[in-house]
Amino acid sequence: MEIVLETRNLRKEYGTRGMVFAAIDGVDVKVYKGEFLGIMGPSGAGKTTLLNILSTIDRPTSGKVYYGDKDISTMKNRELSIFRRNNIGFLFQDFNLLDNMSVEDNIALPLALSNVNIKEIKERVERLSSFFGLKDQLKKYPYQLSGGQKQRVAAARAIITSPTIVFADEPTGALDSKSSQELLQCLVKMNEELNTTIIMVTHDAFAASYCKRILYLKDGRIHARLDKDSTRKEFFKRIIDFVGSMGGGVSELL
Amino acid sequence: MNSFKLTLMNFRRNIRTYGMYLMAMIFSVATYYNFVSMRYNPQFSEVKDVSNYVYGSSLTTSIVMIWFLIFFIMYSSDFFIKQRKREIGIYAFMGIDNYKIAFIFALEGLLLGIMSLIIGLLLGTLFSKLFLMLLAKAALLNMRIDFFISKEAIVETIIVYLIILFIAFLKGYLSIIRTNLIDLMNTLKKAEELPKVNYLKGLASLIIIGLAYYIAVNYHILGFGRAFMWTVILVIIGTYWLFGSFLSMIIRYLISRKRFLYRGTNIISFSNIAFRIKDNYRTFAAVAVLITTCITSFGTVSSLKYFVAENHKIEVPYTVTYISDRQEEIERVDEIIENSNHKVELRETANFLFVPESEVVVVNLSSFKRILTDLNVKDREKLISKMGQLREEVVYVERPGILMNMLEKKDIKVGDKTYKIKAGVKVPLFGSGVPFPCLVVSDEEYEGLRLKHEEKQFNGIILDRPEDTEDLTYKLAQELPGEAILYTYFIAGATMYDLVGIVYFLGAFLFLVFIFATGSIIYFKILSESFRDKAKYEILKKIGTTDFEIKEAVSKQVGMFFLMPLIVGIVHSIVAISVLSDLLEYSLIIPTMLSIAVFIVVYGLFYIFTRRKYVNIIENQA
Repeated sequence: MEIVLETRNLRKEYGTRGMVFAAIDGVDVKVYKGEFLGIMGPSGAGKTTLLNILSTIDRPTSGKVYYGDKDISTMKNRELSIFRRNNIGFLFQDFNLLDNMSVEDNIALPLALSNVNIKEIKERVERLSSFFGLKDQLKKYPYQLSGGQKQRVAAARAIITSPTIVFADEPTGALDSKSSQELLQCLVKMNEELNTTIIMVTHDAFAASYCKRILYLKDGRIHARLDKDSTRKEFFKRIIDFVGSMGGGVSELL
Repeated sequence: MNSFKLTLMNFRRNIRTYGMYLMAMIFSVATYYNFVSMRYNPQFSEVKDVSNYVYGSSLTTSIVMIWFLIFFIMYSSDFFIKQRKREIGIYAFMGIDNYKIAFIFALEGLLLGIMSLIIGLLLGTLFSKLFLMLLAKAALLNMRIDFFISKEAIVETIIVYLIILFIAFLKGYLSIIRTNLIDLMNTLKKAEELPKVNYLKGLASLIIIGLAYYIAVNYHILGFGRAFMWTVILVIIGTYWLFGSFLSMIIRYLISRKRFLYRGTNIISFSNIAFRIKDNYRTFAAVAVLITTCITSFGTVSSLKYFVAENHKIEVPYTVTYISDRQEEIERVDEIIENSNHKVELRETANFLFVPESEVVVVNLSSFKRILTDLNVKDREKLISKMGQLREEVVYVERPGILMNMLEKKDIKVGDKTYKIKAGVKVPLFGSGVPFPCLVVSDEEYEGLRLKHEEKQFNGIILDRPEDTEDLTYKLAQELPGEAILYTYFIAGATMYDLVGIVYFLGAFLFLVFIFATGSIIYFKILSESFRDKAKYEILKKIGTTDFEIKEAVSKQVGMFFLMPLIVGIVHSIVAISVLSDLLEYSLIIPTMLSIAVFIVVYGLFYIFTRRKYVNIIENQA
């Protein structure tokens, strides 16, 4: 299978000399096309740091990040911004929609910035809004939407550029359980129907159970990998058991 | 820690934020002091001719400034308190009661004011000599200015500022006492909503402004005073509604035009502007009115100066003129001038006919051409070629000193002959020494008229240093008989021209203070925007907006903020000045364009400065 993202011996250190703390301590990940990868781990394990580095928002202290065969650590700031705009989509816990733009404009934003042809923008907005069930919301503003709707708008914005990978940082964190479920189903639909590669950070076992594969991060290292091989419900149970065992401090046995 | 110490601490921490306000305040204090001290300066009071003007204009400018200061100080202190509502809320959470918090924050403003008062007074006294020297130069006064500190002016400045500052202090104090904790905490978090558009008001604003313009241009219908009052009232209302509603309509339209919106950074800038109009339109309108006042008043004084200077050229083209053809008188005059310390730059003599029945003088075409060439009159070739060959026609040269073109006659009678008037012109010829309109006729016609009318000889001399002709004038007046009608630069001067010089200078100074304050008002407003926009730009960066695009979006957003009031202000002031131009019957295009250009340059500097600051704020991660 085609590898879309690969890291080699990734490290991220914080602090000054003598007081160095490694948030990421030698992580190697391979992400294949069409994957739905979950990153789990307790608070402070370096999940968000890893996500930020993978998504080019942050730079590693050492190690490499390859998109296909492109090394992004050599890119200049401006180049990186444009790369991010065209190749990466984001979902954040607090949606990060722009309050002063209508749903339609929010979704169109990345394409508008790239000066894409207006007809093309309108077509894609149209297609994605029906995909995410937002057709009636297009003229509304974010303050008129529910949390679940907002996150779906964010999802539409994330994939409008047909990015290589979509990064989701605790996307269900601010949603109630019903909206969470809806959103996760949306992500699965994106993954299956549009063949979008998704990397999701979460500490919620329920959300993680929608993934196809899970990396469990602890103290900046990959501690375990879990693959989904049966139904979501069973996978969910396995995750719960696993996380429970981690909390019990018997991780070394697994 | 007592509240005074707390205030001092806050004050030190915020001094950078206050920088702009401090500068504007210090400048205004220094200027106010100088305006007032003019009145108390013993050297200026000694000069009888101008002391009245100085007194009057000092009083007027200081009153204008007081009004302006009230507006400016109230606006800024209000701004500062709004800016820090959250901080105030935190104090309230810590259990400090409202009275104490109010005291801490209001005191900070007062302290700021007192600081700028002290620095302003120091700078003001330091630069007062320079100020008065410039003033004397503008008024063409030949005097040496001594360094002078006016106690009265210092006391007056302190009293005026303290009163205004104290009122601002009270107002801030009361407004903080009255706020609720929950409002304070929520001010920054409050979700912004898209403002509703009032289409009726938007259209009405255009009609109101149109009506105001109509009244202004046709001021004779209502009479000047009433027309002026109504115009001002209507323009202010119209401008507020224009920004409040009409602008929303336009921006809303632009946002619905996806073809426009989805082009690069437009989507960022215009979405932002649309949301902020409700908060900002009062500032837009206030700034537009200030700009109008600024450009109009500066345009008026520079137009006046321009007008008087142009008129001066027509009234006093020569340093000395007299009418005589007696050789001994002419020689005597030359002798006196030779003995004076002046150099002769031009000597002009010309014959003309005096026709008392028609109250005109007549000159022939070749003398006319020669004089225009000698005096180096602008556009004379064009004028002369336009005149062409005069046959039964004459060219009518306006009486020097006339303010308005009143020419309505089609033809004019000289003796028993009637001539058609080919054109009326306003050019320097003999100056006010021959206070009559002049008819230019062809040389042949002149020969004919000469037989019937009395011919006189005009003598005009241009000297260097024309402003220093007082002694010379007295000497010449003793020698020449009354019918020679002696007229000199000294006789002409010291009247209108001096006054206009003073008014111009003070007007220019007020203009500077106004620009400064207008600039700082926009600056404050935009800065407060930037703090609220920071989160937005951070999101944009995350989804892959380049730094360059962010700068571009900021430039557009801030640029629109500066541009919209500027355009409205310029249109308003062009109408105002065109009315003035109509009143004076004189084209004021040059001084108007000049004052607009000066304004745009200074205002543009403010734009660059504000934009840079804005970019800095949103790029610094908190």
